[in-house]
Amino acid sequence: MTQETSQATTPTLRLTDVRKSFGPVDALKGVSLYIKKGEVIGLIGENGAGKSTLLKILTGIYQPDGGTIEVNGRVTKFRGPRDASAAGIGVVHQEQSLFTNLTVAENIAMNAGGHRTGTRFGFYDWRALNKAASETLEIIGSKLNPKTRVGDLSFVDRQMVEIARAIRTDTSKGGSPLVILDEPTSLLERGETAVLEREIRKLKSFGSVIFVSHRLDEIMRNCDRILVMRNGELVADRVTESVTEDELFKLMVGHASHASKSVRKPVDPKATPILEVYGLSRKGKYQDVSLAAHAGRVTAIVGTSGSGREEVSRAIFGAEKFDSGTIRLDGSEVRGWRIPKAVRKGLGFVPSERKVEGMVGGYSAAENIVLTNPGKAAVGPIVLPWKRNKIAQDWFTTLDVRPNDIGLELDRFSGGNQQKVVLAKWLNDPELRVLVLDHPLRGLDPGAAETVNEQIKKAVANGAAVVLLADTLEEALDMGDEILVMRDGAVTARYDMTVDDPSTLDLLERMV
Amino acid sequence: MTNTLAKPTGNVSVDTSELSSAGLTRTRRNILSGIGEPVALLGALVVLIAIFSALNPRFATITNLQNVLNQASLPIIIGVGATLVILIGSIDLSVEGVMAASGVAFVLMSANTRGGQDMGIWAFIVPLALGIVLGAANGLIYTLLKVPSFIVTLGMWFIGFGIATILYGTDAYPELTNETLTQWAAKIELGLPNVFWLAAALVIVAALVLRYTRFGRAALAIGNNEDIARANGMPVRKHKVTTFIIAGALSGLAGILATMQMGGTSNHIGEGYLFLTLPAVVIGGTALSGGKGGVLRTFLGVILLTVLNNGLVLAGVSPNFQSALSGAILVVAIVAAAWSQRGRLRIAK
Amino acid sequence: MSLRKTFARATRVAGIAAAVSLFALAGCTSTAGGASSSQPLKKEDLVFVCSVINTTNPYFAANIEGCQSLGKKLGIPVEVVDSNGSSQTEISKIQAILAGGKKAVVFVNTVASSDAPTIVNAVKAAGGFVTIWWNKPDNLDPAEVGNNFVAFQKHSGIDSGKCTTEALSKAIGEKGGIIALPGVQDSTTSATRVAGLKEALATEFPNVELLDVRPSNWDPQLAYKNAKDLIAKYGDQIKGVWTADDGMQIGAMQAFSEAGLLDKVKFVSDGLYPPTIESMKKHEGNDAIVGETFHRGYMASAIGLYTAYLAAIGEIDPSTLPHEKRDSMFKISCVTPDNLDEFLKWDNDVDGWVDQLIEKGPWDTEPVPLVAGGPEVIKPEYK
Repeated sequence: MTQETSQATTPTLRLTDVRKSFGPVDALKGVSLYIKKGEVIGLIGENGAGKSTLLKILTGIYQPDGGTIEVNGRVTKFRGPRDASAAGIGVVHQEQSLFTNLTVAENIAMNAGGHRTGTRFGFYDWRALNKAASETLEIIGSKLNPKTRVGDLSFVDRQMVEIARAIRTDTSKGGSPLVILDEPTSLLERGETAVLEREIRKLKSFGSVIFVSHRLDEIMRNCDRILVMRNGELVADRVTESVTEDELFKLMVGHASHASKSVRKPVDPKATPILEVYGLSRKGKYQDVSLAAHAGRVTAIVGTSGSGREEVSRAIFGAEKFDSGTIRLDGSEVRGWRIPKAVRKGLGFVPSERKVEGMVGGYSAAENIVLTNPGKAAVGPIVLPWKRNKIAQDWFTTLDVRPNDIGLELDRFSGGNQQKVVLAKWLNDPELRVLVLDHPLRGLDPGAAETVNEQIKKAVANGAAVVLLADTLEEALDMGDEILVMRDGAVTARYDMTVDDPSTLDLLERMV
Repeated sequence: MTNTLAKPTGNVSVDTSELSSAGLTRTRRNILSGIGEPVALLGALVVLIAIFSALNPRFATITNLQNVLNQASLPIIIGVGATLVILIGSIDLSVEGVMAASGVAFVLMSANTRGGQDMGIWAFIVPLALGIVLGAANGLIYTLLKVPSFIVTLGMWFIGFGIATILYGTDAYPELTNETLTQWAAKIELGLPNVFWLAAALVIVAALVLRYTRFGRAALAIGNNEDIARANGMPVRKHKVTTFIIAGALSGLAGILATMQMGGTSNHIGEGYLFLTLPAVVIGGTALSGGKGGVLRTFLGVILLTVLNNGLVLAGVSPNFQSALSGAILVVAIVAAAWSQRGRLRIAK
Repeated sequence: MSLRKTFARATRVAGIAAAVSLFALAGCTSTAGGASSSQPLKKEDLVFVCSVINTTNPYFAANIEGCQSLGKKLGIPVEVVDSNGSSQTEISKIQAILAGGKKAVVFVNTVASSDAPTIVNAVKAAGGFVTIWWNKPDNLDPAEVGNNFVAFQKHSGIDSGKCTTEALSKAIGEKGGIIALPGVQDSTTSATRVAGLKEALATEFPNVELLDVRPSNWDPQLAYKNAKDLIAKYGDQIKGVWTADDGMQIGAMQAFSEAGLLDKVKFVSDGLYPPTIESMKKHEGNDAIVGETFHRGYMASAIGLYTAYLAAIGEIDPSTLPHEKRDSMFKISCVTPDNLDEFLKWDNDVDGWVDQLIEKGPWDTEPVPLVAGGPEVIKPEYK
């Protein structure tokens, strides 16, 4: 447990025996920790380990049932987000929490408690507001226009706004701010993550950071000390130099990692690819993209946001139109390629914006699973609830979905578990031939990522072709049988992984 | 667009320039589509005006302009309140009831044909206060008891109507005896009717409030995402109640003005205003889901609807066809105006 | 109308009639002492029901006044039904009173024509007696329903339209343009008044031009708006304004007043509401109002209730009455600024008028004696 060395300075934050229950569920079973100024603390744990609850207590959204919170040595109670913010705690949320209809400057300023530059007696002084925002943005090296509406920004830029807002809390006080980064990298591209890591180093110079991430390599790279949570308890508090990734994984999950390395099969030259794309172009998005997806193989596409790979993947699934080029299925060209037809032909798509495109949040998990392919659950147009529930229950067991309640509305599951359900929806199709995966591991903890990857591999082994837009280059190298690199809408390189062995650096060079 | 894509730097870590390229293109498109809708609406209005002017030269006259603006004024005033409420993601159906209550209170407290005392300035203050109280009741019940605003305000509609019925009693129809009051609304001042100046002033104030005050921005924020607003420590309930109070006060004001326009009132004074105003708000482009839109758009929406009905009368369209025809024209105008926005639904948040 | 069409309609009417009488028969067997063979009811077992569309319109308020005056005279309690403009409310409130035990003598100013059959059947089933005023479906004939539906009564809309149009045309020198603001488009009352307007113009005043007709739904504010639009359209071409009731006239006059045209334009309408009387007395706008009709809400309700009452206590046997006393039209008087005072005397003494009604019976009381039998038919050319 927490080791306290004798401290010359009082910690910025100290929690002692903090407890929180929801009904019969003990989310936090007495957590004690401390964070000193200038420290970057890594906080890891599987989905459901209690991290979110802990963070919500730190940000004043939940009030603990027991235990104490000390800020700079003084016992404090956070009655609401405003108090936490006033105490210098800022947060960058996992699911972005910006007002898309307001400007960058406003979103930065609209921070609870933080003093309100740019407003006087409730009136806005836009010039002062924009200036303050520019200054804050400058600290993190962003050149965003403070007058832009957040809804018009890309995801990365929005993340910068979130960080600026969290830092913004500080500028009002001389104290040392504590910035909580709640899985900020889970939705970022590789290069974008580098920017964030630079920010973390900057934050260290004037405050402290709690960095929550599922990517153990990032945690290892950026943190001074790592806290591991499991089942509502803090199970380890280690100085980074003294642990390895494998150890951390074991601490988190309670067992050792057993991800299997993919076995690569060369393409049978006589086999017709299930899906072929020839010279696909869309003005301003991508030009002349060709690829072939074979049964039992994974085709990974890498590239930055703006490389056009998302658009290509959506075009393959019929979710977007293209200007010219052809898509062939089993060697014959398809016409009128739209989602319904694609689904009929055995294509599946796991979108990156699963909340928007991948699921019906208000439906139960079971209903979501049989939504597209009722399979055996349906007799003609009628879905039989008991059969549906059995199928859903099987998938829940296979994918270890938590909580194990197929009747619960999908909205109420955590991101990782939602992703499992979205995947199950496609895997439930016995006729599944091509699976297009847009960032399937986004926001998933390592345990969940492992489960999802296993399922993808199983589908491949069963003869499906997979088109994968990976989160990380490592993931692409690990999963891909073929890798396409895209830049500015064009394919800049292809690697057949049965013969080539590119490094991440090779890929990067062709991406940017 | 100029090439914002960076050359390979050889350095693994950097990137902001090329990363934000997608952001930049998107920004440009959205700025266009952002103003695209009002501009298209304005375009639809111009087309209507051109057609109606061609059909009847009397359409494009100062007299008719004054007439149209006079007719549009009350829906505009009510529309300001309705827009604010819709922006926070709620709805206020109590408009007609509040108008009835304030209108009857106003006429009975002014010099009128039923006799009674002329209460002077109180004849304005009390009905406005009535609107504020009903609006506050809307807001408090909605936020404290967590009853959907649709239901609360529907109830308040009937409560307002009931208050009006009780106040009205069974005596003769009361008429204002003070000519200054009855003539004020339509009186031409600087070329336009008084009541329009009042409506325009309210629109401008509301637009400024939405743009320049913490309350206004918070209203937009609440409409965009109430949970985030709450997590940010915004006084969500206070802002919501305030919004309903403003809407109630404006409905009260509309009741007074409608009574002045008619020279008298019954408890039916508000009839028809709700379903004149709500479509205008939506046609203007304020999203019923909240967070998007504004009072200037509502202004345009009301003007469009008023011009449409006025133009059809002046064009001599048979009353039998007017309703169907105005509906058809509206659909065409809105589809045309929303054309630039049609892709927006696909932009994920 | 073609022969075939006529035939088709005749059979349809016959069918409905058969259905209605069958229903009536069923009612007879189930209701002890119902219909023509009934024992007269005792006065102390009766309750008057006075059902109006709302309570704030001057006309409906007068309806209530008439009911109450008659109730007081005869010593019978009066229950007022405020329908609040809703057929639902109207029917459910009447049914609640019918269930109350006493025998109901009912006057209904129906919200919509289609309410009449339901109400009539309900009253009949409860052994009460009802008179309907103003609105009923054409195929609902009191004689076919039986004694419990004592009568349907109204004033002639065509006469009203003619009356006011004559006054208006004469006031503008029998030439020039006028505009008309009818009520709700599918209302019989409004349609008959408009028919009277058109008939008078066609037969008597060929030089008066009907510029525009804009239905204004009995709504003063809609009338105000429509008048404003029509002023913009026709300007000083408009010499006269015809409205289907005084409420809309208030709106129209406000519009012309704002345009500074009140002195130059003449107005006619139906109803002679209190504000109209005030305006006429004050000679507002150089005697802007030149024609009105006289018929009163208290007269209608008192006549209606009294007719039903006479049937209830057995003083009349509806089945033996001639057609015009079951489906009746009462006189409507034309009012001009010159003869206004003659009519105002009635309003000052409602109780006195009710005394006369009791003395002379429902069909012979001035100024609203029975003049004709219904239904009122609009000639197709004046639709």
